[in-house]
Amino acid sequence: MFKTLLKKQFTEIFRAYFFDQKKNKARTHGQTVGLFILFGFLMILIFGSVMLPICMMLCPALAATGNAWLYYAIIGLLALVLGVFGSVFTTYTTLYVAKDNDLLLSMPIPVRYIMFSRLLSVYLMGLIYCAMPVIGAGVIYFIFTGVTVKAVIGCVMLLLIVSLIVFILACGLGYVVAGISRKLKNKSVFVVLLSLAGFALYYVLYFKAMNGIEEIVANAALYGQQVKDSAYILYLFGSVGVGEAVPILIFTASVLAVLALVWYIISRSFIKIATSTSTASKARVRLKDSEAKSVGAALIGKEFARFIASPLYMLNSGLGVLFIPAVGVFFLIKGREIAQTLSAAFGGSAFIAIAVYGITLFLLMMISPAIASFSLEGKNIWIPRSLPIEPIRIIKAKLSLQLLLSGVPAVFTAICAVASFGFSVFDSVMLFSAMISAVLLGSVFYTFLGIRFANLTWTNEMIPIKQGTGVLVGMLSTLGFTIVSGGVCSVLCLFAGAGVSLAVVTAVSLGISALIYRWLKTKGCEMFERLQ
Amino acid sequence: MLRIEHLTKKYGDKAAVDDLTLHIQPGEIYGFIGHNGAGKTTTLRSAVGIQQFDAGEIYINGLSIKTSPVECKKQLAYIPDNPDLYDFMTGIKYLNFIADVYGVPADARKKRVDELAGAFGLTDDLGQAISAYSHGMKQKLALISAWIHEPKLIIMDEPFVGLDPKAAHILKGMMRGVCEGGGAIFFSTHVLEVAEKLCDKVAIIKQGKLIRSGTMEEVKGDDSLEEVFLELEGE
Repeated sequence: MFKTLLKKQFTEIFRAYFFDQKKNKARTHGQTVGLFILFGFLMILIFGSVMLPICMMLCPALAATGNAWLYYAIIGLLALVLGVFGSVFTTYTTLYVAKDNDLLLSMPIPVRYIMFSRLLSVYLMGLIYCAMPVIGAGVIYFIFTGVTVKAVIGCVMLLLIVSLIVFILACGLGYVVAGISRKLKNKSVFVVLLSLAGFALYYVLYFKAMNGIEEIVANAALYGQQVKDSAYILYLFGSVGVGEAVPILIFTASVLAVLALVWYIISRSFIKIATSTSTASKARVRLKDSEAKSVGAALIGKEFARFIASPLYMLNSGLGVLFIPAVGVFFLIKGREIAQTLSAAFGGSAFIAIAVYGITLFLLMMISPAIASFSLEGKNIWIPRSLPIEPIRIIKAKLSLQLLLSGVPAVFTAICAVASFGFSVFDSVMLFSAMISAVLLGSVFYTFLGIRFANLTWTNEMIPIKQGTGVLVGMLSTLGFTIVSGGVCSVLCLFAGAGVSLAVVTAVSLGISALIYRWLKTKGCEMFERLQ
Repeated sequence: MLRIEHLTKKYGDKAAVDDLTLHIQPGEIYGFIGHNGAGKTTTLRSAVGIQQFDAGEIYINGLSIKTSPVECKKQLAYIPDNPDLYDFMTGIKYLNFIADVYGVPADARKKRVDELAGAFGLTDDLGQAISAYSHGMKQKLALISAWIHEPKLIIMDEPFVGLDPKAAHILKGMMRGVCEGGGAIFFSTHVLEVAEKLCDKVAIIKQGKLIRSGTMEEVKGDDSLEEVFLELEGE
């Protein structure tokens, strides 16, 4: 029974790896294994590129001065933050708001089996996030100090302990969010605010950590002693990674004790929370307020309502709406220093406009509601399909939300950049053009991915929003496009200046956008009509 | 009103609907009965343009659902067997959304929502999120949304499931009202007593094939509809 539950849970999460929706048949074992290897490779590539420089900087300096524990303490904390960042809200959606909770609870299945199978997937998500930095750090450590049984055990134990702490935090926060959500009317707003506070804390910690690393490397012995004196628990935590037996035992016992407590609390309240409906009071409807809208406005309104109704959707597909304008404000505040730094780094101010374009392009990856929007229709797909609306209007509504959410922040940031850096008129116009063309390209491309990788059969909205194939393809494609277009722009800038190079990427982006839009109007509509 | 001509829909090698022909005239309540998996839902979904089919044609007031889907859909309303509505909307927002799509003027929609929600006892719940609705409440909301633009043809898949006796009674009156206004109703049901009392005509489908259709008297003669249905199913 438990095996069946686990199979159901993981089949749902990794459905795209086992089932080819386009051909409507199961993938071969070879294809499945290949996709998992590709996924692993991409994860290593992404996280490796971020963590490798930090590990390379820290490990030799700290290991050589006998402070390897500090190296593991820093990496462990970074992994902890990364893991919490990646999986903190999955508990709430996976455990409490899964659409098949009622069905499973009505079956003769022990509740603990249902909880365990769901929570195991939460744990594994956190483990994936934690594994990349910890294993990467371990490999670097082995290279510099040699492979010993003690070192390997330490690395493995650190990974297990960090992943369990992440799991405990995710469970705890999920429990709190679930409890409060039952009593709140606008729970989406609450969850988003809570998340944003978490993100703010994360970035403050992250940037402080980055600033501190150089200082730590330069004065390893001094800082090592200071941390040991003032925060002994950090010393113990780091010593786990080195493979010290006593810290391993202390942390393992502590984590398991807290885990048991968390399990006890959640198991006592699970059925009550999972089967409850909102206790929000009834709002008397004022029918006279009904106002007629155009079809287009109604469809966009519906997309917007869908977006703001789900904290998971807003946070995973719309975080850039806040980040991009924040960068614009940062330009306004620190414009002069940024200009000086970039000029010194690139040997002139011509590259500043290219850098602004590149940064915005990269951050646009964080605004992608169109990708999940088709899958999120789910069982409601009969509604748009039975209404007298051409498929292209539905596609345009999803595209419009994407354009609106990404366009306004991008234009705002462009205005801030122009005001901060004093570009020439030509460069300013070309920066606006490049930004708008990037928004257009991102919007049509994400809409294309939304239709192409639509998955209407899910029991938890986390599947299409966070784990969909389209989401991964979108992220990697945007990363690739940012690197390629940024590189091409920089090379062109050397010969023709920023304005001309931005004009070239604008033309290319508009050309690709036109081709994708044509696909949306033809093949996209056909695919939408086949969705069921 | 609705002409289904030689409709065929296959899933792989299996024909879910096989060369089915049905004509539904204005003023008729047409019942569609058959065992589970007989092809009822596939037929209904094909008729409203949700399901693509392999052969045949479906006409709504002379317009092909294949070539003029939007014009056809403007004249009809559909309620599926399971009313999965937009959980993230409140009841009133959902009704407004549907009314916007059909271009129902504000005053007309207010009047209809007042009447229909009042009749179903749903007025006080329209401000709540649909996610908090019971199955029956969702069914009532789906019915109001189907009636809100006063369609000429209403196609429903098991419309009585989940409704309380009072709501079922109201629905029967609403269905008769559509027909008296020159419209038509085409619906599937497993409740043969309802079909027998309510329908002007009935069609029985078995393994995708139409095995009997016509007026209630033609189909059942002196027997009950249940007896005829069970006899035909046993053949």
